[in-house]
Amino acid sequence: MSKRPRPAPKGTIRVETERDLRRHVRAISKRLNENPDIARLVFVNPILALQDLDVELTADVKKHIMEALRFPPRLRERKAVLEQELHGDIGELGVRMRLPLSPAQRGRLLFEVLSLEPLKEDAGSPGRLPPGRTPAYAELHPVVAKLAEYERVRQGSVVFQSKTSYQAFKRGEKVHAWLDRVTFDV
Amino acid sequence: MSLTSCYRYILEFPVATLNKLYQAAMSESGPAGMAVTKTWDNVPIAGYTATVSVRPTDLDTNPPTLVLPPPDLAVKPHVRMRVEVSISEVPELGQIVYTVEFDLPGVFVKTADAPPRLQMVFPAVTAGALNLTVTGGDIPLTPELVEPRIHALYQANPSLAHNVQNNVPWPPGPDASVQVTTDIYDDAEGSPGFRGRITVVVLDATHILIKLPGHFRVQGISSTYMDTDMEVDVKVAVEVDIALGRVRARLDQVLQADIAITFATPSGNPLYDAGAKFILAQQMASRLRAMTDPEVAIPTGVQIHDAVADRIVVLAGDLRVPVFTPPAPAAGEVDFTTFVPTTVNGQVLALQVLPRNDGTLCDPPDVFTGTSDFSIAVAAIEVQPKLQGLTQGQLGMHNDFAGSGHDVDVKTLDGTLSDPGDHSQTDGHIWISGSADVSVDCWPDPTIHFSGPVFLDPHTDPDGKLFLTARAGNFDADKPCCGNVDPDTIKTLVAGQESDRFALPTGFSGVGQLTLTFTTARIFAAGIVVDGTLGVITSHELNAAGVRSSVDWWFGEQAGGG
Repeated sequence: MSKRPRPAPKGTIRVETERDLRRHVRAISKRLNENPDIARLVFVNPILALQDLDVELTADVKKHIMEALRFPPRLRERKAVLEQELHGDIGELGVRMRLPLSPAQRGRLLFEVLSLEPLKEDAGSPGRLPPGRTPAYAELHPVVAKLAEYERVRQGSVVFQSKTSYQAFKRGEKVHAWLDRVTFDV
Repeated sequence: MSLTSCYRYILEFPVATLNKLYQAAMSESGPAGMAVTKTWDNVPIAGYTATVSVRPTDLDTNPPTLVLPPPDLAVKPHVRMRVEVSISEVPELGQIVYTVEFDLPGVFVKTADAPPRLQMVFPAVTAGALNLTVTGGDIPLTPELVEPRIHALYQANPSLAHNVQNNVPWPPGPDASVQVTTDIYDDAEGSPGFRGRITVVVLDATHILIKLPGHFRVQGISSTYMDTDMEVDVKVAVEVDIALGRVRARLDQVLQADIAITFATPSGNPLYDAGAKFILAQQMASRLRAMTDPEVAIPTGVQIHDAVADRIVVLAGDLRVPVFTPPAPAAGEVDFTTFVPTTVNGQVLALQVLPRNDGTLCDPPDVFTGTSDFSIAVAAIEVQPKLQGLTQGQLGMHNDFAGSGHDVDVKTLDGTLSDPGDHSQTDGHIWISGSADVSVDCWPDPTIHFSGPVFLDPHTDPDGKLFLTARAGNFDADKPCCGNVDPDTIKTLVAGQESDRFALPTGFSGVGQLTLTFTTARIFAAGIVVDGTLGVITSHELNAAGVRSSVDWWFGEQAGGG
């Protein structure tokens, strides 16, 4: 005879430390499973989803959750490797720049140091290149390819949404088309 | 009606494609020896005997077409042919050319050969069913056709050869009247003392000029006014009457004005010459009008119509028009030689392949071709196993899924053929559903349950086999996340994946080489329909390209005419 799962405890769950988080993770997961519409939203913004389930988080815990989700160990390692390699590569090109690069530094690296021709999309801001544009030049030079990967990894595996966007998901105005539901093993 | 009835595959050709095949077959008929080009000797035509030749004509300007009449497997090509008739008894008539158009009621049959072939045959054609129209039949007017009749006329009318008239008024004077002697020569070529021979020149399609050599003498009491050789040219209308079956030189219509006279030795007195020509032209016109018109008898239009119809019935009995010859199946290939032909709604020829033998009701197949050259419907029982390749390889652990740094363990992944309209999808699709555990730090691994539509794009691999790649739907759904673990990226598990191969042959020998190219795939719960284009490279074109040895051949090897 299977044991009927106990319902999640009522009331506010306060999480002030990582230890609290570990202690309450089972209860929080239960609340998520009992509220599938909110559970779907953990991929939109987990902090806002937990708040909707009456889970109070301190700033440190919020940061811990976000970092853990955004930067799993494999991604952190890759970021570190790329950072180290890029320092070396850029140094060999005879310039000194600190990562992450500013748009002006990125523009100088690509258009002056590597002498790449700006694409017409970037002609409007001579000498500058925003980070989102680096992939457009990735095939033109191995250092740029590495820089593009670094900038992507640096964003983390998940970029969580603003509160406005979260609310739009909550109201069903936005959807993750392929996601039916999310459950947690408790 | 069902997609594939009680078969696993159905290959459909719409009428437009059948026309393409039929036109290619007709264009190949000559060099390939197909029995649509034929010559018969000693064909009786109402008391005459003739050599009759037929061959397709105007293939480029008036491409032959066909229709599919209601009875199953019935087919009725429309044919346009050139018919050449040479009447043995009137060799000088030359070749009479007709253009005939007719329907050829026939049926599609599957031969008992190995591999079997699909042909159009015409075993029960009757003259009445041909709807035959005959045009043309212009008689080529030649000197050879008319001259013998003029020579005969000369022989039958001695007065034409020598004519003496006395007391003919002579206005130039001084004699009031004269004796006029007219001689016309029609001596055999090379005969002793040859003086001249009547000849005929064709002026146009309805007129000839009869050239009569001769001598003319005007004798008065006191003197001879003229004594000269001459040529009398008579312009005569020629009438070709197909209804009555005759070519007639209308001497009865000759007027004085139709006659021109040239004297070899003019008299030196213009008045004498003018008077002589006037008298002579008047006499000649009068004498010619009094003669019986020379005629050449030819078959009437009705007789030609009946004779041609008779020949077409004979031709039809031997005619085999190739439509489709599947290759013998290679190992693992779908055996298209099992095809069972049927025609549906006068719209398509359907070749039903591989009986299911599972109790499924056999009913008329759907017409599922649209504007494509051909379509192949594949039953769900054949499709579903092939789709395993889209999903089953994706089960299990995906380390660093999509470069996210997170591991994803796919627990279940299934696809179901779904009709248009299902799952709020306009088009038919494969509905993918599955679940996967996503590993995250500091939290129990969430299980995501996902589903979505997948569409299929057909491709042909280098071996000519069909395979399908999955194209995930809803790609354009609002995608707010720019990170790597957008849950919608789960569809990349399926997107771009390839199905198992469908070993459908794509090259068919039939009329030269047929090549099927797959373009689109439509999905239904009952199966899929793959549409495509059909290329016909005729044997003639392949010969010109020098690639004949590399392909299978119908003509020469299998057509029975080569």
